[in-house]
Amino acid sequence: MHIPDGYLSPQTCAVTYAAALPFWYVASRRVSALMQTRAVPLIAVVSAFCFVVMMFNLPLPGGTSGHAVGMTIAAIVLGPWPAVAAISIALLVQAVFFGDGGLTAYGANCLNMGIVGPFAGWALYHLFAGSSGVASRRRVVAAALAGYLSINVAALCAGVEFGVQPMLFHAADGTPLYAPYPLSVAVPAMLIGHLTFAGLAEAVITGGLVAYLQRADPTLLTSPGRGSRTEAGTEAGTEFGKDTAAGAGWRGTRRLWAGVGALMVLSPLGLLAAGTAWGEWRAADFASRAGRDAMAAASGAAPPQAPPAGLARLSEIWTAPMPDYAPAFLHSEIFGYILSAMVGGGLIVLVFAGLSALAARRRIDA
Amino acid sequence: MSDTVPSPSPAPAGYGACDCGPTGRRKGGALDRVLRGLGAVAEHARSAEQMASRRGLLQGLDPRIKVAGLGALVLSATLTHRLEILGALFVLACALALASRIPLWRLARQVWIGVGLFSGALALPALFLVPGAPLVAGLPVSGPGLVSAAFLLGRAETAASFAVLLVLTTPWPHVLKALRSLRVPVALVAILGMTHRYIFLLLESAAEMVEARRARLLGPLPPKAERRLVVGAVGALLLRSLDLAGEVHLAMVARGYRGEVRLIDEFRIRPRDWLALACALAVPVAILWGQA
Amino acid sequence: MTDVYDLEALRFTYRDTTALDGLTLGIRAGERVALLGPNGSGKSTLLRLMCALSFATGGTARAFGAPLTEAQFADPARNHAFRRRVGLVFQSPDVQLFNPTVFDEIAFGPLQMGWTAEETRARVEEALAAHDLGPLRDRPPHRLSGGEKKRVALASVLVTGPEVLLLDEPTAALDPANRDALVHRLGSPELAGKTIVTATHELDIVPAIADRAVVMVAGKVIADGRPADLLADHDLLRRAGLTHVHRHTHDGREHAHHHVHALDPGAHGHGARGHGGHGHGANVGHGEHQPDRFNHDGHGK
Repeated sequence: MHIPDGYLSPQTCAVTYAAALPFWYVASRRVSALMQTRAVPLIAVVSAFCFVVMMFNLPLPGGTSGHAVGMTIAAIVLGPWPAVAAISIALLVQAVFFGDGGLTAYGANCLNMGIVGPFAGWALYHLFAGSSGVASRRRVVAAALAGYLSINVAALCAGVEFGVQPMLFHAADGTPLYAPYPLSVAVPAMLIGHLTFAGLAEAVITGGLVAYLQRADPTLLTSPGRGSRTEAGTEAGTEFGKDTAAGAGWRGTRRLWAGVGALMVLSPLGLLAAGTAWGEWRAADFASRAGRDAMAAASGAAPPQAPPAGLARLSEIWTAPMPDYAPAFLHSEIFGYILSAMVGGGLIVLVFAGLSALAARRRIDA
Repeated sequence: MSDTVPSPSPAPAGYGACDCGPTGRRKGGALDRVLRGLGAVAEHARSAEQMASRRGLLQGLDPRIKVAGLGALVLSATLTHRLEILGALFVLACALALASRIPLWRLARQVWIGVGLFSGALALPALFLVPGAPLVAGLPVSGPGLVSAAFLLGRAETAASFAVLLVLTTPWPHVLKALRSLRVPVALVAILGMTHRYIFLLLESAAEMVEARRARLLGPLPPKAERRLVVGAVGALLLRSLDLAGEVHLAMVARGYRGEVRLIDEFRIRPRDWLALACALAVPVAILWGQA
Repeated sequence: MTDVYDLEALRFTYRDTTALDGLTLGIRAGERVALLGPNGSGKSTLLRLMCALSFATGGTARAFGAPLTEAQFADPARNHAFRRRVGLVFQSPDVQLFNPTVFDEIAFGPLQMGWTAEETRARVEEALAAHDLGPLRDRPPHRLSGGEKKRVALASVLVTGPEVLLLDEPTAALDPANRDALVHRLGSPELAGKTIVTATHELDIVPAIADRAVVMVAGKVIADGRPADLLADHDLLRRAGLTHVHRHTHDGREHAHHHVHALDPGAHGHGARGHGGHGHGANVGHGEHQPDRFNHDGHGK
């Protein structure tokens, strides 16, 4: 899911950087306020851990293997804001030193894996875990589910980012200049790989680690952000635990999410200059052999044995609401972009804002 | 110290690509795969340090100029709308590598093959999927399809080449200092330095833990047990990491750290550095001007 | 008066572990003290309290006449002044060395002390020369050998010129040559007059690095005296878990013995190497040394 340079247009990169910036700012403020002098070493070492975890290939059911990103476990153990900081740093080192993920695409990669992923994972974990005890089996299942879903949400974001490229950035004759596949191909392609292997790896590692911590050091699951097992007594960091447990993480971000939504809506305004007819993409292409190759390549997964049955329907989700007899402006690329971004991003925002509200209410009930 | 990390895998680390997808089950089992992965990272770092100590064009430039200049060239590769310019940028990357005494096979091994396989596979369907007039009658390959595939692959390869040139010609501490003087917040620079430093330690710890678990195995394990073993190793690594974070914090406090990072800058910019920067910055400016 | 440390009935508990259990100890300026004890006896915890990295949960601790309490150290000026006077070398150099290069590592302390860039640079270059680290100047820590790491760690603490030097297992995981070099360094004129407290379970370095030995068991001081006297007390050393116990079948008697050799063979000739025909020689303290580099006795276990 590390997007390399050249897949996203510079404009998209600028937008994703701009969208990630407020999160980085808030994360740095909150991390240093809550962890004080511990922030620098803790974030550094956890970033190194996140980096190394991505090197671990997990054997998966079905005779394959995949590696995890570890964004949900970072959010569970540290709380969402430190996880944003730690994963963003890990991604930066990966991009600069090891070339995993592009430099211009760093903002997008952070948005997907360093911001959306940890927040989704954190909110879902607390939603599913509810008020269950720290040592309960339910926590393990909740963590596995949260890991699985959050990496898919992150993949969805990446798919949307890919998918809007051909609509917006193409040569005068319609030749795509960046990622060439439309939403109807890019989104399912990203999701198929992550609904299966990558999602499974993330589920195994997140659930497995929570089970491990239940045995080895359950306090790490009760006070996120403590982050130090040896600093006896001096700075127990409990204040941080209270903060995140109360759901302040999400409360604080809802406004930011609204900002992201606004950015998504506003970003195409800068692109009004561009504008030629967009080649129609058909769902039919998608069921073809080449389409499956695209999915396989995008996700690194083996192509499904049979043409995926639900894909045609899935692609219609994006195209169907705009029937052919609709007014012409509804077919314009700008409108398509806004629609896609709103549907893709807005849905996520709404779902998680709702989930977090639900999770917060449950905790109050508990 | 990193000699405890096992010898590198014959395959290069997937530079510029992410092998998020499944990998087939190869012989040796999951633990061996983990060890190979860890070894590949350590090997990449080792060779990067070795290249950076050679005497060449890029090695001789001020790191700040290199960060800004190569960043501008990466941006150029994503900005341009013309394949000729993209091709010229790719040639420039090769020329810079040769002038910096980095053999092209090195770039090929480290960047081109990995990126080519990943982005190539991704670009291939575009040949057929992108609508347009067929290139040759009877063949389902469209002209726009070919162009868009070439853009995807060319941009990814060119940008990754420039990016790797920075790391291959600049020791990491210099990259950090360059970031510092480019006004990146000092705490972030300190964290980046520490992250890099502890990646090596954790790689080493991870390799040791996996080795220790492997040494106790008598034969191949069923996948479920293998999985539990790997998850257990990651869990142990997580606890070690958190312990380490606490210990490092104390070591910093003991030497007077109170939450404010201080660094020392020691770079001088010479005329040739300014010249190099001007050249590098001229490229994206020229591209933007040409497209306006 | 000239007491550097005045520790009375010190207690330290963390989670369910009691690391210090009513420890009383006074240390005067210029003393060179060896803290002896097995793993888990509370040595590391004591050093951390002495360095004000954690604070006692019971009893009173004073350093330079002022109490060592968390409230005291909330005052930046007090904190700053204390850090200038006391330096701690951690057991694991991986914990101690967190900067990108050797130069940055040694410059960290001076910069935190608020020295100017010029001053810092000058002092770091001096320290590099004094500790034979010149060629390693720009080396990242993960490219250093174990002995080099220890030298850098020591230099990075000494560069700010602390009056009190606390060393936690300084010879752990060092080969004999590096260990001897370190012991030599601790006796060098640069360190003359400093108060040096060394926690160790390697008895054979004690005579060279200390004028006074304190034996700790289970968070308490069980003996305090001249190294030569304590090291000759086999019964004491056995109670403190500091010796190997060999059962000699030929006469059915139990012998305890420790390795005292190489560094100070004259004073302790009876601790002969090769005694009983075993083959341990060089690696003193093996079997106690834990390969786990993040383990610190007395914490969280």
